[in-house]
Amino acid sequence: MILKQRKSDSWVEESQFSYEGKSHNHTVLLEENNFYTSWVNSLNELNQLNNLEQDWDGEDAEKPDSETIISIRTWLRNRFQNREQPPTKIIADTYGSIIIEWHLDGDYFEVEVSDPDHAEWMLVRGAEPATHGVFHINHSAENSDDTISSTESRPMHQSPNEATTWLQAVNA
Amino acid sequence: MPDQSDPVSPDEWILRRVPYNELNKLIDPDITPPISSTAFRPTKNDNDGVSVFRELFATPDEVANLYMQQNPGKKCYVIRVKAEAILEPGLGITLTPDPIIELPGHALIPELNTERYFTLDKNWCKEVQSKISIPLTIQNIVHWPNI
Repeated sequence: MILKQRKSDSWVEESQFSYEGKSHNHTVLLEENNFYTSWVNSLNELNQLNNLEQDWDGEDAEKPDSETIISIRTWLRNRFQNREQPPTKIIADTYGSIIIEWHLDGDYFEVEVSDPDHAEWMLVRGAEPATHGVFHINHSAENSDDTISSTESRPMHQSPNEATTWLQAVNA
Repeated sequence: MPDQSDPVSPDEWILRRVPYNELNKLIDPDITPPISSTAFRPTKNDNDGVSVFRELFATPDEVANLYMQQNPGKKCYVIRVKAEAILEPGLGITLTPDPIIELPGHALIPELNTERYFTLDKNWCKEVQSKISIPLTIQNIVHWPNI
C-alpha cells in the first residue's frame, strides 16, 4: 500500500519503488504459493484416506468409501475454483466418514461426509451455540452457490503451474 | 490416599489416547489447532461413554502402553486435558470413575456415547467434542508415538 503511494510521488520515488516493488510482488507470490500449496496438501490428505485399511485404529474403525472420496474431490475442486479458503485438515473418523475442517480466526467450520451424496456441516463461533445443516454434496458440487456460503473466501490470483499441480493431485 | 473410585476433581489432569495413523492424522502438530475434534468422538464400542484415564493414577506412557498391548502393531498419542475444561457447566458432560482391571484411573464421559452420537443427538456430541479440542495445543500432547 505504501509503495503505491510512493510510486505517484516522483521519478526518484518511482525508481525506489521499482526495486521495492519487486520485493512486494515477491510477497504476493508467496501468498499465492501458500494458497496452492495448502490446497495440494489438502487433496493429498484426502487421497491418502483412500489407502486407509479397515481397522486402521486397531479398534475396528471403518475404511472410508472410495466413492465418497471421489465425491468430496469434486466438491473441493469447486471450492478451489471459487478461490475459497483451503481446508485446515481432512481426516476420517472411525465410522468411515470424512471430516473436512476449517479453523478461521477462532471459528470452526466442519463438513462431515458420510456417503457420496450426504454432507453435514457445523459452524462453531467462539462460545456461541453451534449451527448445523445438511446438504447434497453431489448437487452442491455442480452448483457453486450452495449452503457452504458461510466458509470465508479469500481473493487470490491465478497461477497456472500451481493449478496444474493441484489438478494432478485431484485426479491422482 | 486417593481412591480411583473417588469423584474426579476439577483440578485433575485427564488423559485421552488418540490413535496414530500416518495416513489419517487425527493429531497434526504442524497445524493449529493440532488436535481434531474427532479425538473425542465416541466409537462404535463406546456404548458407556468415551474412555479416559486420570493422571492421578496412571501415567501417559502407561496409558499408551495399554493401547499398544490391546492393539498390537498400532501406536497412539496421549493428550492431557484439565478436568475443569471437561466439567465446564456449559458443556453438559461429566467424568465418571470406571475402574478396570488393566490399568488404574479409568473413567468415562458417559454423555458422549455411541447411542447418543448415532441416534439421539449427534449435533450436540459434535459441538461438545469441538469445544473440548479446539483450545488444546501441542502442549497438551504428553505422549508421542515412536514414529
